[in-house]
Amino acid sequence: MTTHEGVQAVVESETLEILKGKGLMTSDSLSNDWEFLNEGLDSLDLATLLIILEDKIGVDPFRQGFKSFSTIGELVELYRSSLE
Amino acid sequence: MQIAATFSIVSAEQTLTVSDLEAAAQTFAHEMEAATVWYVSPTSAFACSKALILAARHPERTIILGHDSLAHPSAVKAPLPAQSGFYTLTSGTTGAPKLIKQNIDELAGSVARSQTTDATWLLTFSPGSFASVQVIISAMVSGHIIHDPLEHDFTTIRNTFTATRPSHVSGTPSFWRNLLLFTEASNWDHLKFITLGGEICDQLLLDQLATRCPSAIIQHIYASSEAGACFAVKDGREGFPKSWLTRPPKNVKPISVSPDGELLVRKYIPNETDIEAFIQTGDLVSVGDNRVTFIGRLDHQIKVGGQLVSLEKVERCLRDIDMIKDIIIIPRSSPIVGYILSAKIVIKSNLEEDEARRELAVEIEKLPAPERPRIIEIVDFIQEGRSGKRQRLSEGDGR
Repeated sequence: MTTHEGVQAVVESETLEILKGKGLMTSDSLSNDWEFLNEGLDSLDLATLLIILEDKIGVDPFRQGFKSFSTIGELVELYRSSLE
Repeated sequence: MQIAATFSIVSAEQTLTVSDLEAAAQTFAHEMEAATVWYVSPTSAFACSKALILAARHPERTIILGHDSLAHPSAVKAPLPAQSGFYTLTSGTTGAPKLIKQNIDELAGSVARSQTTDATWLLTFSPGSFASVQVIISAMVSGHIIHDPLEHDFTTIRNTFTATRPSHVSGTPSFWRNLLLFTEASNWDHLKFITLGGEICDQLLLDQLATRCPSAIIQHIYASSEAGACFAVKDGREGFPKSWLTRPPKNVKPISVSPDGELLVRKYIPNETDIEAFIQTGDLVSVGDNRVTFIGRLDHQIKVGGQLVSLEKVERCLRDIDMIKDIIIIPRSSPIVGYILSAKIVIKSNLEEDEARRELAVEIEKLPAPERPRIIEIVDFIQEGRSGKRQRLSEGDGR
């Protein structure tokens, strides 16, 4: 299971992987207020990201139902609170 | 049911003949005289054969080919049957295993009685499954030898295949794909009769088997513990002739297709013609000009972002790609889109994983978005479940 501190790096790197796979990103980092749906990701990409994050981080904040989030920072917080 | 005298079961431990079986059945019947239900644990081909002999000799008894201990993973949890007879358990591919009453004489009549007596079988199915019962009855009535690997992991079965050089082998398409992948072509010349059943058999696999084994008879069969043996297709093509829907030949059970495209099979009830006498198989078919082909299981259709996707159809599309040696699609549940697809893929051994992933990405991009596997795991081997069929349980779903 990923540590509280490690969550940020995992969320960021896996999001970058998906963006690179779609040929959408050249930068190596994403800021905390980066918004998922404004940058060319569709709902299937987002669904993929959440399943990869569940596998890597070891928890699923959405197990009890979908919680809304729009930025990287908000998603990181959801995983962090599930780890507690 | 007549058991031919030359029937025997060979394993690494021993060889057992018809007289050994008869003696074991007699001892069992004597010791269990007072029991209301006779459970025979399907631990080996020998145990299954003993149950079949008991069923033939004691039609007044309730005989269950299954474990009596509830602690056992494949224990009988279904309510006990009211009628006496011989019962097997369904594989549980589509839910909890159910008890199904079998008619031994009908089973013995439906299997291919071979004229040759020197044939040898390899049991690839887990003992106790309906498919294993069919193989054992075939060998019993024809007087053939069965090689029992005793353990039912793929490696043991493959090693037994190589060591015993059987002439007759019946297995699931998953089993045959693995055998093609993990055995040398030179080890196949002893095979005379190849049977596939239990899962969809596609044209690519039939062609690969025909190339590997040009002189063997290759047939794919459609059977289930509930519907029994329905038909065998021997023309080397996937699916079956459309004419069978209206004029089933001898040895083909009456079949039909529902308006939703589900294959229906007539249950053996004399003088019944209405739709109630048909069993819903849960298998989706496509009716073409001359051929009916299998699409997938009804319960393997999932919604991805609102669109219906057939797992088997995606597998079939991707299996056509040269670099892919084998594939299984596993649905992963998603709070956003219902499901997305993940895939376990066996790639050609001369490919590096990075290179393979790049090529795969290009091929997968050609599929409609909902049908694209999003999470790819490169594996050496795809494991079969106990029934020899692949398990597509969605991880973390608890289904």
